[in-house]
Amino acid sequence: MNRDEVLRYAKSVHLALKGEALPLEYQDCSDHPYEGYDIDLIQDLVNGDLVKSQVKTFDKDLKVEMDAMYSNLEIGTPVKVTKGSKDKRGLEGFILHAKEPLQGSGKALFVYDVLTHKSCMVRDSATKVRLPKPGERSLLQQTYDVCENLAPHFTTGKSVSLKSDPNMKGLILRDAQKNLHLDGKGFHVVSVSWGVETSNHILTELVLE
Amino acid sequence: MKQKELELILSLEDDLFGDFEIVQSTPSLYNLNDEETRIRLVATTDCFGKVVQSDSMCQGCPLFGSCCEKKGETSLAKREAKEARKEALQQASEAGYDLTKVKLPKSARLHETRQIEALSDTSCVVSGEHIVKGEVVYHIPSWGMVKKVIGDSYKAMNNLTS
Repeated sequence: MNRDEVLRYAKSVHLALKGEALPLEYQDCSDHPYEGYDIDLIQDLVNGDLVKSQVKTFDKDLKVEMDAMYSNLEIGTPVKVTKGSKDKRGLEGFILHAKEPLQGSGKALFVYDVLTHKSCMVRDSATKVRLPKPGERSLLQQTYDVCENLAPHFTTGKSVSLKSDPNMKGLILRDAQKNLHLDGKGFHVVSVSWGVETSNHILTELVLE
Repeated sequence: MKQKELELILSLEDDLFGDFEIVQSTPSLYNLNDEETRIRLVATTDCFGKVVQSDSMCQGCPLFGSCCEKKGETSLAKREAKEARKEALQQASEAGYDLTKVKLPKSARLHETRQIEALSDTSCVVSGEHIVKGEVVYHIPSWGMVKKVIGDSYKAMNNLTS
């Protein structure tokens, strides 16, 4: 049985056992061996040894793919920041842009964590490749798409609030555009005045009032 | 003359040792009638229950007797399990399922097998046959659904080996 067959069988066994569909653990899930369905549950329903070996093979293949992407410092490679200041170290994100550094060798990378919206600029030697979490790459793609669609609506003077803190309300200071330091790469951002302070935000972090 | 001397010696020996019973079994430093001593001795004897009756080392062991007894019990249990397995396989075979060639995954939790009434159509993981809604089947965790006959056979085998 291949992965698709295992999943199909697990779905039918769950339905026969419980009378309801197999619950989905992650919606629109990328990088998951069983389309976002709970692996532990599948392991319990059908041949557990087979499921384990398929998950292992899946991870191995994913690792090979990520290693190849990282060797070329491709846009969209998942990385972990291993060196640098306390703020940067430990950040797990994707390479959104790679460029020649102002000084020294290697490349300067703009790394963005799509789950926490944290970002930083680091040297490539301060990073290591990692496996993307389930659904993380689809969220990255969604963020690109959503930003592209929202950009024309985020114009100067409109009021916005912060998704993570709806009480924070501010005014857009400039039309949405791609980060100027990233040579047209990355997401659309806007500069927002929150009264006393000003900060830049990716469009998916904000809600138009 | 010699014959007379020999008879004399024999009668003398008989007089001296005639009342003593000659012990034939291996003398032991341990009092094996004491339960605690026996338990302790068995616990520290790794090979207990694996006696080889012709082995002189085994013959000299104080646990020789109980070891033979234990081995007998084990082999009897093994024989019974084997017979039950054979019988279960025979039953499955009569129903048209050859379970001898089925590779049971290590993950399969036979002891947690549950009989259910299928709430929806599915298929048997062993035979690949269709299982219809309402059919009484077994679910073997970490393996899949099996037809009742197959489940019964595996249960029979498992009950006796576990």
